[in-house]
Amino acid sequence: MPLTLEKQIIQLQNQDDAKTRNEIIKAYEPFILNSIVQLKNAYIQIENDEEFSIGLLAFNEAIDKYDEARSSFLTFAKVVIESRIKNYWEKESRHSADSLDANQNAKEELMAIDNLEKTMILRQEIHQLETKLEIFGLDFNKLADASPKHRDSKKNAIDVGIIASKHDDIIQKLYLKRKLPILLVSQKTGASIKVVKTNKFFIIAVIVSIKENLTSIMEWFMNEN
Amino acid sequence: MINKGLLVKLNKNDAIVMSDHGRFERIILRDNMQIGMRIQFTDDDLIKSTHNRKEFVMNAKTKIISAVAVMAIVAVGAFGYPLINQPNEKAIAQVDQALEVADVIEVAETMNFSAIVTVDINPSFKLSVDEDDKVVDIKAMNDDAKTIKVDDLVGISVENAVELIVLRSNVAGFIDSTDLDDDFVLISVANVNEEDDDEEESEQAEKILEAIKEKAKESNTLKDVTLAMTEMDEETMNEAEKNSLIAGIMNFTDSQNMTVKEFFEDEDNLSKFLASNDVIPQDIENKIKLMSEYLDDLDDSTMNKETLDQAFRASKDTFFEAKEQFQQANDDYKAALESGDQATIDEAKENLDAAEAYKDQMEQAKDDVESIKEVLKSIYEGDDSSEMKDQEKDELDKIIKRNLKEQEKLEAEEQRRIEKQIKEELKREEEQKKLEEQEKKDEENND
Repeated sequence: MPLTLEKQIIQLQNQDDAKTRNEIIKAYEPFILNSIVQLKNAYIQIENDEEFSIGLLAFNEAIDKYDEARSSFLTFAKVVIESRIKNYWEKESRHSADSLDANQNAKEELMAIDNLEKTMILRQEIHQLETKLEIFGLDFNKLADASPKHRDSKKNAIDVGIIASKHDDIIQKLYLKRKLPILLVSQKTGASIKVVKTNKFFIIAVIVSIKENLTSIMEWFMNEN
Repeated sequence: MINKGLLVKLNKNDAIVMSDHGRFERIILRDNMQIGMRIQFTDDDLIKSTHNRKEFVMNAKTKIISAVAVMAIVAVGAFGYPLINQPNEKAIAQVDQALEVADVIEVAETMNFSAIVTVDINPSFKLSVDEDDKVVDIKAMNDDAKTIKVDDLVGISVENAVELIVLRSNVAGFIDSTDLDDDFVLISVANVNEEDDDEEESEQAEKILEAIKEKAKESNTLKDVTLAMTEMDEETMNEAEKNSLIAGIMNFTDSQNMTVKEFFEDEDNLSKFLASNDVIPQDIENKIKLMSEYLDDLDDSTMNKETLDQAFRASKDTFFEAKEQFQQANDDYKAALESGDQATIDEAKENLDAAEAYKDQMEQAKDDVESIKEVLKSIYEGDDSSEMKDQEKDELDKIIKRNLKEQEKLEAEEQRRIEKQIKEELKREEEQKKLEEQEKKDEENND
């Protein structure tokens, strides 16, 4: 019978097992992220994941300090994470008020500006993409509703879009008929008709991004995959 | 799992991210959200779609059908008894009505079609096609069509049905593939969309046309006719049917009772139609075969016969020669691609460019064959004013001259290829020899 999470934690406290510890932390990353996000009622940005690191440390700390008699582990871990995050926020606000470490502050500011700039460029491109998608009767809401239920086709759909964008006849038909020539795309990219069909809106979005030279969005497609 | 998302849209009740899975997903609204932000989120942040429209529509349909079916049964049950005992006209009428409703439902179910295909040769047919591209219903649209048996075509795939319709029209004499006249078959396809934004279906017309094109490549029946194909919307098709017009061409001509053949024999019409549609010409090789038979039959005393023979042979030879070299170049290219050797591929690419030139030559030869066919036709139709004969002779002489030149080119090209092959073989032999010598030396050294 598999051990309960609580039993596993107690075992970890009694004997050092870095592998199991890491596995547990990895498995509960979403839980850690959720705890923080719910606490601040805001999403954590990818570039700014200090809070997430603090959450990870707090979860690790919770493993060491957990007492089976008091509560379930996750309840306890959540309390620890929340308290550590609040501590961090307090320290941060004091930090910026005192401006004790000017050097550190300047560095953080630079990073923030860099991030902001990236966000602005992306916002512009997203706006462009939105306008161009209108030609095809598409908007982001439609794209969201049409996203396939399963996640297995991610890489496929992006690749299909990239290859398809290199075929002039596909582009021509797409812009002329305002819908994806599914059969042609399937033939030229080697993807099955089913894959093309279920991802057609997404493929259009990829092709349009390439054709309109939306490099930051393309970078997002490529890098985050 | 933690997902990454690029925030692309802020709605009133949710936000949309483009996730790292290549998907667009709805997530819960939170503070400080800005478009362009890259965030981390978990599956807990996802908003599951509250209703799936398609499922909903499907469910509703099933429900309506079963409700009506129950009504029918209830009606039979309720009025069945008095029906046996004493005839009750009202009851009979109601049972009939109920059964009729049930009938309609059954028909509606078997007639679940998603595309309409019309085949106009004269005769004209209308085929209803289901989502799997199978014929579910077929209708004769004019008197000529009624003379041809087609009801057994229900249940087979649409491209096979089209082939059989053409074949049976041929047997019935509506198409004559043994005369020099071109025969045309017009195929029009329309999607039938039950819901106006059901885009899944809207690709079907294209799929059907592709399937017919594929069929035309292998079917001898379809090779003997020129296939004109067009896609249109259901409304246009219905309107044509209402006015007994031919849907595929009614937008290109004002003439109401023009046949498909009359329409396409006019060059202007053909090019107008071609601008936005596909035409697969009758297979040229079949045509060449047919023409040579006609030429053999010509009386020796026919004016210009010799020139005609020469011109035909010259353009025919150019065609087949160019075709062979085109295929050769194409095969070489494919083989080179498979070998994966960059130098070979580069070289093969050059060959492929050359192949394009062969293709042009093929096209030119095809045109020449067409012109010769016209001359042949005029001879058989007994159109022989001397002025015309002179013109013909000029034309034919030009064709001969051009094709002889083309053939010289092709021969030179072939010679070049052969020389190259020989050179390569010699090179390979030499290398082999060197290798052997080297091995011998190595062995001697080892001893």
